[in-house]
Amino acid sequence: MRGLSLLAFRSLASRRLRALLTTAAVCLGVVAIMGSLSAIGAIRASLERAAADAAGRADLEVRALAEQGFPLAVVEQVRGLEGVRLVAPVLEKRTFLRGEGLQGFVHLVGVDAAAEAEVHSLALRAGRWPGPGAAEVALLDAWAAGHDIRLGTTVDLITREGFQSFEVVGLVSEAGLARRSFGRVVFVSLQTAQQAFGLGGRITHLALQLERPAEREQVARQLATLLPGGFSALQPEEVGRELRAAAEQLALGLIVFGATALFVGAFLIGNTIAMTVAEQRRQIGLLRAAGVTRGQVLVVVLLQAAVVGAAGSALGVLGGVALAYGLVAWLVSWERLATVEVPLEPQAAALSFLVGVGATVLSALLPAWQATTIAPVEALRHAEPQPTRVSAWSHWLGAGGLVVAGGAALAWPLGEDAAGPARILGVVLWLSAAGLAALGLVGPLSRLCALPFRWLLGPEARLAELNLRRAEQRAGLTVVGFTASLALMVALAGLGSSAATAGQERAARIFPGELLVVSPVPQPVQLADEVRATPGVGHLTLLRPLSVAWGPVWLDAMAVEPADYAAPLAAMLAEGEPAETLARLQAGRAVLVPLRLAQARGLKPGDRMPLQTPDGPVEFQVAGLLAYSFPSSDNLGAVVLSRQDVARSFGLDSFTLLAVTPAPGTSAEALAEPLGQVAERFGMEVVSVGAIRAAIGSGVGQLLALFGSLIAVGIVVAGLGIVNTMMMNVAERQREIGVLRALGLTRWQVQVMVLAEAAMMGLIGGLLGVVSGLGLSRLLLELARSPDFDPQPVWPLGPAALSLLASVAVAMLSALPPARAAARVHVSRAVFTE
Amino acid sequence: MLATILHAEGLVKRFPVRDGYVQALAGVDLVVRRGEFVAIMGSSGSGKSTLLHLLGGLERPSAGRVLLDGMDLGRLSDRELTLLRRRKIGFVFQFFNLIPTLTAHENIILPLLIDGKRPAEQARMLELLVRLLRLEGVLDHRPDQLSGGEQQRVAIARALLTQPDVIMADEPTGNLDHASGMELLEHLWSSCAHLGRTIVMVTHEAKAAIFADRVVLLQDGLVIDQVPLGRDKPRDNARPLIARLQELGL
Ligand SMILES: Nc1ncnc2c1ncn2[C@@H]1O[C@H](COP(=O)(O)OP(=O)(O)OP(=O)(O)O)[C@@H](O)[C@H]1O
Ligand SMILES: [Mg+2]
Repeated sequence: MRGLSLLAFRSLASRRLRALLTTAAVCLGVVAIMGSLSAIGAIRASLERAAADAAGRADLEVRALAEQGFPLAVVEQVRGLEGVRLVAPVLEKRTFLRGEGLQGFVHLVGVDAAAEAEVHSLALRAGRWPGPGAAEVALLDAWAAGHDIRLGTTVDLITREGFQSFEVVGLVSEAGLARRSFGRVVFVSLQTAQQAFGLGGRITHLALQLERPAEREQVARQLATLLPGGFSALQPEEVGRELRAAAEQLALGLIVFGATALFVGAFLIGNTIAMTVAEQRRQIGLLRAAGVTRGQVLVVVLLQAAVVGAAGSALGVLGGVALAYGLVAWLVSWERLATVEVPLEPQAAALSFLVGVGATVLSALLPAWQATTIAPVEALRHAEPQPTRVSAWSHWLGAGGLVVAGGAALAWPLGEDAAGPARILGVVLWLSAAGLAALGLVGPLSRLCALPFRWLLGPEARLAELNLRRAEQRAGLTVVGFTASLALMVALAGLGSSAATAGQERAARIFPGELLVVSPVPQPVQLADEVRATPGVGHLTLLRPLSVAWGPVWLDAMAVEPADYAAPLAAMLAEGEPAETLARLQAGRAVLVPLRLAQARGLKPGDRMPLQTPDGPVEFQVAGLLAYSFPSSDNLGAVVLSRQDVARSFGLDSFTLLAVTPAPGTSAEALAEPLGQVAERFGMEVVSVGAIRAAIGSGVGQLLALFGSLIAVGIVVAGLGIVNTMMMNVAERQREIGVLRALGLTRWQVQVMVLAEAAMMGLIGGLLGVVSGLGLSRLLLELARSPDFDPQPVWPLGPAALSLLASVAVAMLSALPPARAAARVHVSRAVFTE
Repeated sequence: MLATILHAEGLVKRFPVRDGYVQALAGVDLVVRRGEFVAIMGSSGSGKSTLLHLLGGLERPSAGRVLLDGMDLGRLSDRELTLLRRRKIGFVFQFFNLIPTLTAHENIILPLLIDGKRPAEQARMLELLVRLLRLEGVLDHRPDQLSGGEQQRVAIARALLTQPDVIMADEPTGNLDHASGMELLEHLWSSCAHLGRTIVMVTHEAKAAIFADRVVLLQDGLVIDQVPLGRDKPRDNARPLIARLQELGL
């Protein structure tokens, strides 16, 4: 056994470059996997903390149902209740912030500093809490740091009197997602919030700590009699649920795309080991002749793979942690995550390491088995090692594989709730089929792909083409890397642009008209008439977001004017006759529920939904299901109520959004200016629906960039495969290159010949990748299609063309070192020695 | 008197090795005239191949210079030297001459392809060479489908196609059986006699050297003698050469 491992090490040491490239490939593959796993860990940890944070250390959360909230006096009364240890009153509002280089809606929280710190585990990291009644704010430190805000900086907030300046006096250490606002939380004193935001002495939110948490029920009963405006008590456990569900989608994407690089690396490893075995035929024959058993040959080959795998994986685990920091920092900068802390999970490290070593050994299995079939007489053969040729039937195998696997993937019994694993299986199947196709079709495709090069270049291209075809298996294994990563890249782009387009179309349908007037605080309905009177305004509809309590669950809701909003509603309906459904909504005590929410909560049309109102529970009926709806914080979509219902049952007769359609003959751009002036008078703002569409586009773009960067690691590994293969090719073809140089091929032409061969491989891999990626994007889209996700397929032709170019460019770039080596071939020595 | 095509002056070639250097050529002067067939002979390691490499522009001398048609090869850049090889010199090697991925026909026209010329330009020359070298039946074959003799004939056709000033051949018959070797030498000789080519051939066999007009004898990197054999009836010229070789103990 010691002798065997010595052989394995010698063999590795004698091919240092190759061992290095393989190690690098394994390493990058494991980097991507470990990076994804750690990033997922960070996302989960962040969400757990967000959930814990949202509930804080409160035993009971009480939210006012009426818009006016609770009177301040209630706080003292609640404090006096039997069993209540601590009461932290909170005033929460969305408002608009303007600072240097940033603006947008923020979550304003008015707090009683001392009590809040106890209940919500908020800790002041720098400065102090805002003084009572002062124009001072505290911000979450990570968010502030990310936006270059320090103590002493001033920010403007929209208050009742328009923009006012506030000084940043404190930085609060945040935890988790910071109340779903992704760090955009502004703390002011309770008094400042009340004065500046015009809610008088009214409190929207009370967090309670009890002497004995088990007495929650009793305390809740006492509160019911005490609080006149009605309330809903929230169980802390409820809060984290939806947050976690949202994270799973992200995690799935990270895992699938994180595995690309290792998938690609596996082909490189298989190829390398096959090359080594081919070179060592004589040596292996000699060993066999000397009495080494087949099993021992297998062990020697696999041992080499295992050593490389272990080294690469160990490095990869370290690199993966670094990558995770990068990914998480990215997510933070996009405000999808609030903290850059990557948990160091031994399980993730162990898993990544094992997957790395396992993949290496697995991909070495076939060439290792080939090595065991080498007969002892090989030792006596004088022949040059012949690269394995791919026989004709494998072309058919390749084409057949593509068709069969494609068909199988399409026919896969996936219902609406297509599970993640099934989808991953579909992807892997599809990629394997594409890989098989690449292996089998390199020969035929090389003729096609050589055409542009032959047209562009001279005889170098012809030589390159012939060189490419002489070692088809090697070329095929090299090309597969590009095929697999490009297929995923194109599929991702296709899915992404389909989803973005669908989302943008929905946004346009949900917000009819082209302009939105947004108010930081609810406005009286009469104010809408002022806006309507603005010249150029054609049509206008009032929207009023609110939260409704359904048992212990808070749902985001939107109050709409059914008569004004009939057309968008009809388009949103998942089923049923629009006229009937509208009539039911207008009749009152009716609610439209988004499909996804209905599925998550088991609701059907006709079901009763008791909603808590200031006057106690009121029975609403599910009047219909919506295929899509307004965005909600739980991602399931907001329920839709009529404005009349909301006014009657919840006492909320106001709006915060106006969807404005310009009058015929007026353009949105022309209207924006006068509308903006009117809006500004009332502390409101005009936003174009185009801006919302752009935001959706950039949101999808961010996800594409995140996943795309993982796939890019796969392309880099494919590039390493080119380095490896072309180095080997050049080494084997020294004499030929010598002859060509003697005959007058310049060094430049030699380099062009090598680069052209690599470029052809990149093009073949790229073409197959793009074609199968377009198919894969359709496949995934069909798998994900459901009544509430029903986009038109978008063919990502732009990204496909770009990927193709990138594939050729990476291939050529990777071939630079081998091209140099080829140009350095010493003519006379290469030619005149036997 | 025929014009000088190749002129070597004081050629020295040293190869750096681990402790110092090996001196392969120690100061060689040589003149080759246009249309001449020169053979270079000498014992193994005497510097024959090295001399040929220097004359053909495959390597650069450590000292001295090579003039091809009056042009100093030492003053040319790598690219110029490459283009010179492409257009003015043809090579025939001992073992490995042909590009394995190309057919015999493609191998023959390779120098034209490399030069970006259309094969049609030399169609008549190609036809002549194919007939002369009896390659009609094997043009579509790949090198691994050709016999050793056929491979060398293809190499000669390739070397002659562009009508270079000089053809450099290093042991062109070394890998062939007697009959094929003789046939090949006949072809070389007739390309010299009938097509007016200049040939410099390295060989260690007297029966190959007697095809030449003149034999240059090398020993330890120096020209020790030159034996003129005359142009006619090559096979009758053996005696003076063999006598001289025996004298030198070769
Ligand atoms: N690249 C090189 N590096 C070091 N030494 C070399 C190199 N090429 C040739 N030599 C040495 O120079 C000397 C002459 O070599 P050369 O190949 O010219 O001999 P030769 O006459 O062609 O011999 P043979 O008949 O065996 O081919 C030899 O001693 C050889 O070892
Ligand atoms: Mg020699």
